[in-house]
Amino acid sequence: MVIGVDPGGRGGVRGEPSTDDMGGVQRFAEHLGVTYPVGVEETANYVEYQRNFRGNNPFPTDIIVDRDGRIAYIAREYDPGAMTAVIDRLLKR
Amino acid sequence: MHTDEVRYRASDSRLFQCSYTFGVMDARDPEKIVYLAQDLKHVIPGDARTPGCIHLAWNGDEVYTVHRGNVDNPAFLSGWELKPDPADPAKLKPVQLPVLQEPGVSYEGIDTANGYIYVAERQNGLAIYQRNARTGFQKIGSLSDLSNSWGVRVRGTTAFVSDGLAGIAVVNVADPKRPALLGKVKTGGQARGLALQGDIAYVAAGSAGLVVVDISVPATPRVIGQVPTPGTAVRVDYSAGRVYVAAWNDARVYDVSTPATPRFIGAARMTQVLGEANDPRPPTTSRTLGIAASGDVMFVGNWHNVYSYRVHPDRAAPGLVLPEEINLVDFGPVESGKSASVPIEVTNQGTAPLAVFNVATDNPQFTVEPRQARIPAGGKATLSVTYTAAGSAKATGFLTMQSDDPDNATRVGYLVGNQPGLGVGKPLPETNVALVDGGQWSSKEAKGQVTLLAYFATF
Repeated sequence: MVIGVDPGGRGGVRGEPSTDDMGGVQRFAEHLGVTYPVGVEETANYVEYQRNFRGNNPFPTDIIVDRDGRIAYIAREYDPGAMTAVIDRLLKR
Repeated sequence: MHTDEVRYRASDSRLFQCSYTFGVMDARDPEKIVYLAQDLKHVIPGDARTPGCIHLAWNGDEVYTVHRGNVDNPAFLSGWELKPDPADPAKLKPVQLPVLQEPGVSYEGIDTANGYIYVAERQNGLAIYQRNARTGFQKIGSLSDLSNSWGVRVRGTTAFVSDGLAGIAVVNVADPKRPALLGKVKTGGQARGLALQGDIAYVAAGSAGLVVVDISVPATPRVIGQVPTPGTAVRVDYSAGRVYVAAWNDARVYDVSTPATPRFIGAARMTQVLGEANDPRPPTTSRTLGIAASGDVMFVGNWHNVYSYRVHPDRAAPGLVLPEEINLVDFGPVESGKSASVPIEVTNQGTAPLAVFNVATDNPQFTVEPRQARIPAGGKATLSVTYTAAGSAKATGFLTMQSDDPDNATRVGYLVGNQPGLGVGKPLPETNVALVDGGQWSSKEAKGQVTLLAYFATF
């Protein structure tokens, strides 16, 4: 399954206050024509995922989880080929 | 900077860029591009925000700019009159045009022709405007029978609209008050940027890569070719028999002397040092969203800068590509004395054989095999990197390799085992998401399924 997650409640660019609220996320998803579930995270894991990466280049962050609920892949730069290979491998298990 | 669109005007060699600001550059000498005006932000009446722009188009000394609107910026149609700077005749001092904002309208791709301004407006379809000094921007016609319009290019009395998942739409705009749909074709992926040349439309189609569409019969456009791109194809330009694609992780060039079968020439990956300057970890790939071309010169706008490259299509060269996760190869938790291995795929996307050598790590807890490889053009090889934990503490190392790819003479990867916090091998923490449809998703639902969580932002 695929789920798009907006961390919500983030600070704005250039220090200006802003937040990715539900309305903004909904409009964004509609504009893009996203066909998988999309929402705003209510927990606060996003910051923890970023701690081990270099610098502030946070989006996108893609996390692939195996059937046992363990993280199998995490990357900040979009690499569809690598992600597809990981997903295919996990699906075959 | 966050450059989105760059467009080149051949008549005066000016390069325009939309980013967090609007800028105009003199690109007569592409090796010494000079700003004529820069850091221009739009003033929006009644709004404290001062956005840059996403797309642009020109009509003489007026450059029209748009923003789609997001959580940080308002949607608008505006522009700039390119006036000379009275204090410095070598520079410009553009004056912003009045702003148009329409309720519920998100402005995307823009083009000008026939004295009109054509704007792709997402779910609102294609709109046509006129502008004069007295009335500002006036909408005179629109076509709503489209899906999710992102880009537009107009030639004569025909508009070609990139329409997201719906592909390409061809629209008769002979009567700007009553644009009429002529034909459509799906491209796969999300049709975004497009460039026209003769009877061909080249489409940057997101996950579908570069798609080639025969538009010789407007009522029945048809896909005649497609080339995958490693990243998301966002924008495209055409010049002198070549197509240039901004493909998120790099800028790519193809020979299209046979349009249906684009032939890869080369690609440029740009990086950026993020965080502390003395951080030894490798720089990250800068996302590439904007591209323009003139002859053998390619202009690229990425998340941080604007670049110019000269294309040498007659030269063959290797092209080393590593997976993006090379910047953090996470072996996860490994017990002391035990080992874990990670395959690293090395691809040669170039047009000549690639030699990779002196493959090594700097920490004996990490080993790599093989230490060298020779990869034919279009081929792949796999390095196996193994971490043998000497204890339970975090271990880090650098994987280095050299190659005869002139743009990747040395590449570095960052290796980590037993790192604290969230990472490979750790359980997915409890994650709850409020969905836009009013429902809820919990990580409990991921049990037993392979799940992809794609974190994103709306800006």
